[in-house]
Amino acid sequence: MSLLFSPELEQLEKLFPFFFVLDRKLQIVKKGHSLKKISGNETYFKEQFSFVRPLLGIKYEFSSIQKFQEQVFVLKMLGIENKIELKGQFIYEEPSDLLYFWGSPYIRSEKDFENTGLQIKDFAVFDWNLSFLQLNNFLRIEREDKEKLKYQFERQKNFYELLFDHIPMDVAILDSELKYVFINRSAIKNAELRNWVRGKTYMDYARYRNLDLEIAQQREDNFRKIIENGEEFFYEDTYFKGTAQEKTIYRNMMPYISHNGEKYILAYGIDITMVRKASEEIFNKNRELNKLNLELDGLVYSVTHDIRSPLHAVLGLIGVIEKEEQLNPQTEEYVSLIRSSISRLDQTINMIFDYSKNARTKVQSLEIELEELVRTVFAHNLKELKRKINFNITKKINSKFYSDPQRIRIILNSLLSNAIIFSNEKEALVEVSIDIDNEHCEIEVADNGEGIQPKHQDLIFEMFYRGSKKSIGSGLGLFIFKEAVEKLKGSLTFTSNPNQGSNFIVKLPNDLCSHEKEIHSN
Amino acid sequence: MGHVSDSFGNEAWERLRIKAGVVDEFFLSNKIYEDQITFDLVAAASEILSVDVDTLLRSFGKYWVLKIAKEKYGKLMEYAGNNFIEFMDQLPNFHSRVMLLYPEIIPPEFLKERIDDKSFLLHYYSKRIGLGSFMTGLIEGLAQMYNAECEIEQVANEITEISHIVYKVTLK
Repeated sequence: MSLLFSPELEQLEKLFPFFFVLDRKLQIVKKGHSLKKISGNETYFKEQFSFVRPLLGIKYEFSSIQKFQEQVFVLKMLGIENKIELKGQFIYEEPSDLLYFWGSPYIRSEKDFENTGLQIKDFAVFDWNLSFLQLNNFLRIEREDKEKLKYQFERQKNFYELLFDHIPMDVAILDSELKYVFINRSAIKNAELRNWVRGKTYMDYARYRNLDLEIAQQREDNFRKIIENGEEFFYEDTYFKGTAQEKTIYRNMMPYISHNGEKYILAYGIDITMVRKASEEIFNKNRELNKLNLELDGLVYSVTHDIRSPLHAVLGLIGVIEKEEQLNPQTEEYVSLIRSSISRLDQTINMIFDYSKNARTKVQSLEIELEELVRTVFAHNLKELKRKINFNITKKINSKFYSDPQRIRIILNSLLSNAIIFSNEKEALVEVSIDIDNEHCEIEVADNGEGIQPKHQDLIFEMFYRGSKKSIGSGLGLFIFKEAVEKLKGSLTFTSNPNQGSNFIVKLPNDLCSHEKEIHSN
Repeated sequence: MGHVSDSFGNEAWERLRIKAGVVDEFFLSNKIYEDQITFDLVAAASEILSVDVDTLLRSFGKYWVLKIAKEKYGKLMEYAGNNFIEFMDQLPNFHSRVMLLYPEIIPPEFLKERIDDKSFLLHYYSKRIGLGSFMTGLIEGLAQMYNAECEIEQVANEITEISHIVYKVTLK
């Protein structure tokens, strides 16, 4: 019994809805429902189909098709708008002398499926075409994603290359085989040469540019060390040496390991010609300044020393004159005025000497008995100024105090002499407070004198500034005092009210710590 | 390329590549090349190596099966059959399936007609003229791959717009 008339054909049609059956005249005697949907009622094979494969050895004859029946057939459908091809095979049924074609559309892209009028339900469930369409869609998405990523990657690559090209310094990247992976426009301006050098070594470049190959080899050896040992390396290139265009490039090469462990060398070069010139200028000026300072220090020292000696000789002679008994009162007054003027001059010279010492000498660190020093300096100033003063000293000493004795003396001398001079004329009072701990020493000096007018308060530390009629000095005292505090890395504050007095606080670091370290190390 | 460089050295390949005016230094397995490149290379090889074209094509056909096909399509070929005859039954569809994957290429067509258990006729249809000897080499190579000894006789050679050659293959 022929399959054509058997009930099994219905089941087979479900599996092959594009099947058709040919009789010996190549007349289509039966079509599957899906084939019917796209081909209509055409009944002759030759008018409905043309061979695509096999093509060369086959004829539009029943027996010829029968010969090739074991092979894969591709048939192109004729007379319809869309190019649809069927892929399948023929099977000959002997009893009925019929050829059955079992196959389905040969779809190679989504486009092949478009406008065919076919739907998924027209295919057998197992049909590969459906999986193919899904796979094709998936591949299209993947391809689009890849293209997007590629575009993104190219964009980023271009962005960074452009960025590196606009950086005003030479940038290059070399791989572990010491070949240039990237080099920017600043490093090589000629685009052709820049492209050429990618994938080449420094030696290749040196040969191309006729550079000294011995130096090039040394540098390449150093590049290798960067890759092998991770050592950083730098050198300087000088171009147009000895000409007005001479320039120096500082080149630094450092190792870089990427996230997947690949080793690279990152290299950059900066034009340091201007920096080098400026540095040389600064160096020369500094040397000149140092020379001038030394000369000035020498001058100040010799001037102060040379002037003080004859001044002391004059003071000695005044002492001799004062001892003469026959001096008349007028002469006695003149001599006293001479002594007073010479003393002030001596004081000024002393100040200049102090300033010179403060600027010139290194800071020392010695133990200081501060209370004793305060009392000594106070007594000396009191004797000089011949005043009667109520003097109080309070102390809170929790540590030894280490600092520079010479500068502490300058600071105390300035604070106490001012306190004595400017304290109240009727009932003068000077109060000193000392507070020492491991870290700091705070010295506070207060008087009950005329105080400092607000308009003078910002100016009192200026050199040669004198803010009061009572000032008998040179105007250098507070200036030197401030310089000494700064030299000791201390700080100072003051408050002052006219006709009530002034209060100066100096806070200095206690150098105890370095002494303890020294003791421990010893 | 592989056949020439393996049998005659890389230098010989370079010489014939330049003589044939072929720009490509190496060929990709899945890329489709112009037929003319093949014919130019064969002509140049014949001249440089002093071997006639038919002998060269035949040895190349054998080399292709035993070296290239084994290397590139080894597993596929294993699945094609347990012996030479079974493989030859699948030969037509092997080529048809290649066409299904690469619709733009035109592989040759085959028709195998059984004579008896030990012999068959193999019809070879191709749009390329002049590759009959190459086909002979392929059959020889396939037989050797399956350790089969056979006699190959070209019983018909009809050239029209296409080449239709009939081989009678008899297993010994």
